[in-house]
Amino acid sequence: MQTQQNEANAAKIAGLRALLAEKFPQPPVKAGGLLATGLPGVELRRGVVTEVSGSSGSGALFLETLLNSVAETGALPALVDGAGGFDPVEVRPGLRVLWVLCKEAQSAVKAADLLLRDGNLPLVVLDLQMNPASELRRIPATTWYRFQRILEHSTVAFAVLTPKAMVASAAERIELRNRWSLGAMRRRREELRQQLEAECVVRRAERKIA
Amino acid sequence: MRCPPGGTEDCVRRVGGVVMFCALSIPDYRLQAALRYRGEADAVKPAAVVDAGAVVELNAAALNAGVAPGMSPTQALARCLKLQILSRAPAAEQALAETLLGIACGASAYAEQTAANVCTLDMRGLRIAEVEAWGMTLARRLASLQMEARVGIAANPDLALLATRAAEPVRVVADSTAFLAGLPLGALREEGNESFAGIAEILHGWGIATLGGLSRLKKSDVAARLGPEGVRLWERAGGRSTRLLRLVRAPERYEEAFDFERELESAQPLLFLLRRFVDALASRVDAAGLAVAELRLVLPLSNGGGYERVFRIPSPTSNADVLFRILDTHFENLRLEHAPVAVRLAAEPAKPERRQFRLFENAVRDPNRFAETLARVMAVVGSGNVGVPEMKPTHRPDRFALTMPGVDGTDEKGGENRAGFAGAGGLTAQTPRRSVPTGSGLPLRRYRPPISAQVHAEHGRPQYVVSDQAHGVVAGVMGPYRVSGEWWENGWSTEEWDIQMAAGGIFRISRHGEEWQVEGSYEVV
Repeated sequence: MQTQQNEANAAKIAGLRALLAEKFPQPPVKAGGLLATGLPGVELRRGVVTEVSGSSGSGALFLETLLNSVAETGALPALVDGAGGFDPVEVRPGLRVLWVLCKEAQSAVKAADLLLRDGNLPLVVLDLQMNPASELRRIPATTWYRFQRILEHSTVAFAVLTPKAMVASAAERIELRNRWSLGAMRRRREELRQQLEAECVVRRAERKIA
Repeated sequence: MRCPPGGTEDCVRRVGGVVMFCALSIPDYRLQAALRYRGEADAVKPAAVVDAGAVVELNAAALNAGVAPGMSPTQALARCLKLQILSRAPAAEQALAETLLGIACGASAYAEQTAANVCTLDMRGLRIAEVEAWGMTLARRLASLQMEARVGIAANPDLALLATRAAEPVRVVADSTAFLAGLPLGALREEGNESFAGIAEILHGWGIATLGGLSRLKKSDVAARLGPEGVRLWERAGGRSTRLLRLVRAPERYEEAFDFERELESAQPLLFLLRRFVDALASRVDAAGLAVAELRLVLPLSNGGGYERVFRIPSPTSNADVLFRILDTHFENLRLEHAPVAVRLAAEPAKPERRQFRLFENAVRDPNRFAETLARVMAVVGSGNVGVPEMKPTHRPDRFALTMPGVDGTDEKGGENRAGFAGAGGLTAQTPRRSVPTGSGLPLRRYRPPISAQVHAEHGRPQYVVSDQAHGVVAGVMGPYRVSGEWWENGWSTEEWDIQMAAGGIFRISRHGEEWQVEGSYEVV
C-alpha cells in the first residue's frame, strides 16, 4: 500500500517536473567552471548556489568588485537588488549591469528565479543584505533547493548576499569578516579590496555519478 | 503522375521542360474565412454565410439538413434550427486571400492570383521528383493554416483550375481527354458569370451533361448557336485554351484580423485566436524567406477606443512558438478598461538574422527568450525597475535612467528617466570636494527615498542624529561635501556628510536648507 502511494507520488513529481520543463525549457548545457570575482583567490562556482555573508560594507564592496569584474569581460551580469539600494554610480563608465530594483525580498526571489531559469546571463546576484530580517525569515527554505535544482543544468553563477548565513542548501559559503570604520572612507577602493577578508567556510563536493 | 523507378530525369523534363501549371483553390472561401478562427466544434456544426439577404455558401452539415444556396436566413433556419448564420468577414477573407497568395509565391516564382480564392502557378523550372506528393505538401501546408485547399496540376492554367474541381485534395491530369470526358458541365461555372446558367440550361436541353459531350460539338456550330461565351466554354471544355499568367508578387502586407460577435471578457479566446494568427503570419513570412521583426497588436474596444501595442522582436524569427510566447507573456498582466470587440495582428518582416558565435561569446545566446524573461521580471517588479543604469549628465545625486539591454552589447536608448530629471547640473568649486565616487571609500547603499532626520549640529557639524535608520551620538564626521547646480534654472544645492555613529554604523546624511536626510549607509551594524 505504502509502495503504491510512493510510486504515485513519484509519478506526480515526475509529471510536475515535465510540466515545468515544458513551460520553462532549459538550454542543454553542461554545468561546471569557475567565475572570477575580481578578488584574488575568490571564485564563484557556476551551476551552484553560493552564499556570501558579512557586514553590509563588505557586501557592498564585494558586490561592486564582482559586477565590474564580470562586466569588464563584455558579459552582462544581473543584480537583483532586494531593497533597491544599489548606487549605479558604482558601475564603471562604459560597463553594463542588468539591475532589477525590488521593494521587498519576496519579489526579489521571484525575479531571481526567472533570471536563473532564463540561463542567458553568466552571473546573477541576489542582494538581500539590506532587507529586514522579518522579510528574510519569510523566504521558505525550499526556495534555495529550488534554485539549486534550476542551476544543476546551467552554467550560471549565482551568488546570494545575506547579512548572516541563512541558505541551507548553499554549495559554497563565503564569509566576509571585515568590520569597517569611518577611516575606511579616506582610503582608496583598491586598498579596501586588498584588505577584504573573504573565507570560504563551506564547500560541498560536486556529486559525481560516473 | 509518379516517376518510374530511376526516372527522375524524365519527371524533371516533363515538369521543367514541358510547361505545367498548378492551381490552388479554396472552395467556399467565404465560409472558410468566416469559420477559420473558430473552434473545431463550430466547424462541424451546420453553418451558412449570408450576403445580401441570401445564403451564398454553406457547409456539408447544412446541405444535409436541407439548406440550399439562395435561401433567405428565415427559410434556412426553418429547415435547420441549429444553423449558424454567419455574415461575411471581409477582413478575414482578405487575410485568407493574402495567405493563399503568399504560399503560392513561396512555391513558385511565377504566380497569378486568378481569383480571391484561386492562385495559379507556372511550374517552370521547379525540380520536382513526384508531382502529386509536391501538390499534397502544398495542400497540407494550407491545411496547417486552417485552409482546406484543392490542388489541380495540368498542362494549361484553365485545365489546372478544372482539375481542382475533381481534386481530393490533389488531382494531376495526365490525360486531359479522359479527364474532361466525365467532368460535369457545372465544373465550368465561374463566380460572377451570369450567362453560364442560361447556356448550361440550353446544353442540358440538348442532352449534353459533361465537358466531353460539349467538346465533341463543332466549334462553328457552338459559335452560331451560343455566341462568343459559348465558344469560350467550348474551348475550356476541350482543355485547349492557353493563356499567359498575370504574374503578381507576394503581398508585403502580413496582417490577420477577426471581428468578434460579442465583447470578449477573458483573455483565453483572444489567445486562442492570436495563436492561429501567429501560426499563419509566421508561415507566410517564412515562405517569403523572411523573419518577423515586429508584431503590432490592435484591439478595438467596446467604448470606441482601442489598445495598440508594438512588440519588437530582439532577434527576428519565424518561429511561431517564440512569437506567441511574447504575446502570451504580455497578456499575463494586461488589464483593459473595456472589452475588445475585434483583434488585428500585423507582422513586420525583416531579413533573418544570422550570427556566428565566437569562441568567447558574450552576447545573449537566445535574445528572444531573454526579452521574454525581462518582460516577466517587469511584471513582478514593475516596468520602470529593470534595465541597465546610465547616469544622467548631472552632479545631482542619484540621477540615472534605465535602458533595456540590447542583445549585441548595446542598449536601447530612450529608457525611462527614473528620477524624472531632465536638466544638467554642475559641480561647484567648493571645499572639500568629493573625489571620483568609485575611487575611494566604501560603496554607498542608498535609501530610496531618503529618510527624513533630525540632526543637532554644533558649529555646523552634526553631533546627534534622530532617524529611523541612524539614531544616537555621532562619533566621527567627514565633510561637508557641497554640491550644487542648475543655477540658471531652479538652482539646487546640498551638503553631504559621512558620519560614524557611536553605536556603530557609517551613514551618509545630507542637508537641504534646514532639512536633513539620511541618504544611505556604508556600513550597518
